[in-house]
Amino acid sequence: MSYTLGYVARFDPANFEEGQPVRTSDAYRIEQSLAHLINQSPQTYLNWAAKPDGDLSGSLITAVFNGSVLFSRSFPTRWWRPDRPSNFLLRVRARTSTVVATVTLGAKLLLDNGTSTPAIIDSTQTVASASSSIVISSFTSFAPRPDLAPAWRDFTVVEDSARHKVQMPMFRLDLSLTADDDEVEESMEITGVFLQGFT
Amino acid sequence: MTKVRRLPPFPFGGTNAVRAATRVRGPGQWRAWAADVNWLMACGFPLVVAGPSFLVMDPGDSRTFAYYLWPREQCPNRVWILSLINAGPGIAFGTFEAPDGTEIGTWSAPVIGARTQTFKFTTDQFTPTSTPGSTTCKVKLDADSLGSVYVEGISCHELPRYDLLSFSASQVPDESSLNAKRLIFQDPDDELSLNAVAKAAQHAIAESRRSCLFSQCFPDGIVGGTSDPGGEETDPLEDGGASNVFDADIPIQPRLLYRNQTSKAVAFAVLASIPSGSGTVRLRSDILDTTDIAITGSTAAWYTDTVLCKTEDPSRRLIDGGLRGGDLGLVRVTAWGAAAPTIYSVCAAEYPK
Repeated sequence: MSYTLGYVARFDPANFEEGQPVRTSDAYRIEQSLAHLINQSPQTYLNWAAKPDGDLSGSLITAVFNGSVLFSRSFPTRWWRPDRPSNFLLRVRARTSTVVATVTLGAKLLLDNGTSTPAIIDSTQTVASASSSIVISSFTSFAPRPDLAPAWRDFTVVEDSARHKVQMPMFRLDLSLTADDDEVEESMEITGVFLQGFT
Repeated sequence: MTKVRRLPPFPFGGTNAVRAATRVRGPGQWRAWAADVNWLMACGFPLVVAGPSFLVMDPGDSRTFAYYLWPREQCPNRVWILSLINAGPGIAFGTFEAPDGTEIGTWSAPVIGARTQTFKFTTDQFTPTSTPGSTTCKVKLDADSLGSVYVEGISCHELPRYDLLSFSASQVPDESSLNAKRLIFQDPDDELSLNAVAKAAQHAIAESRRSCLFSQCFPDGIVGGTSDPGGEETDPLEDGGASNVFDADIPIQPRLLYRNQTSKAVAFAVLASIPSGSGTVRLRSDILDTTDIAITGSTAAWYTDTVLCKTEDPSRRLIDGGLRGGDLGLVRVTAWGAAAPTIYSVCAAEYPK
């Protein structure tokens, strides 16, 4: 019997009621469904879109010097698959406001589980723009170091009489901008950031 | 008597355990599957995804952030994440308040220009619910603060459940009933033996949904346009038409569940008002499904509806993370009326389940 990852198999719980034979095919459907759910349940962790032009007060804008951190966000999440590296799908929309610019948009995804130095996963996208309103769209997947994979097991459990708490590790995403010409100020406007896990 | 089960470590034991002419064993398969279900139910999902607001608050200011949540009853406790940047010139401090006005915690951002300071606040929901509904939280900057802050972002996450209760409370199977040499029987409470696993697994198909795909609040509101942008709205990436709520289309990517399924309904909730008459909020996905929501009230109220969005494509998982057609699903949000409506919050989730 082959196994195809990627779909939930339909099964009827009534097949497991008293008086029903336990069939391999039914058990297989449960196995396949759970495997799919666990693989495909990583969540959307970060999703942001700027306000429209004309109202830039809410936009995330402007880096006019090299290496500046444009964007720094912390958010809670889980290391989804502790038995192997997890991946994250990052999409950044941005545009340059200079007429001629070659800029590098760098992303760092840091893990802070509260007990160790954050791990840094680097990825850069080089963007060459030729107009003042170019749109940049890129996809990057991050594969954290395998030795960090069990990090989610490190959550601190604090028990008291009233409740149970679990402290989750935090990820931090830093986006930075580097220009190719130190003599010219470059700027970039981030118009959207999307981060979702997948395995 | 309440039975308590610990949140299991990641339990999945691999695939291809079930094969023809091979015994389907108790601890080898059924107990492992029960653990899988429990893990799915207990791991905690986002309720408000992170996203910056970039509001500036001065001493004495307060802002109320409104979100629409599609929670799961298995993980009733929540953690709120507040990210702030001290805008100077001096120390900034304040409080974070629950919807009922009670103070959840205090925060302090003493360093001028610090990029990000993150504060975590835990809240207990003593009445677990899976009913969608709105919630608010308030950020207050103390009047005695010496500096301003940027509210860089707010997010909310279900806390992973350390203990799971009985099936009636959490709808999970009792793993111990599936040990070797235990009899197979039907439990009227759907908590023990094989049928409990089957029912819980089917429940997990719905409950392991992506519980928040998008959430963004504008406490001061965004004013929409005054005319229908027509069937082909101005590309917001080009020049930002007056009716566009966002500068870019929103990436929305729900799960794929069943073979040949290419789209899935995504629930949207919009907090909006209109000074007079009626207005429209249009949700338009890149697979050309369009939903118009009528805005009719002069006071801000939630309006909900669904729009079809394309699902992931697991066959492309190793190519680009499972993007159907090589690109994310996108939804464009536009708002207009004879009197321009104001949008205060837009939230989306994979719902109905």
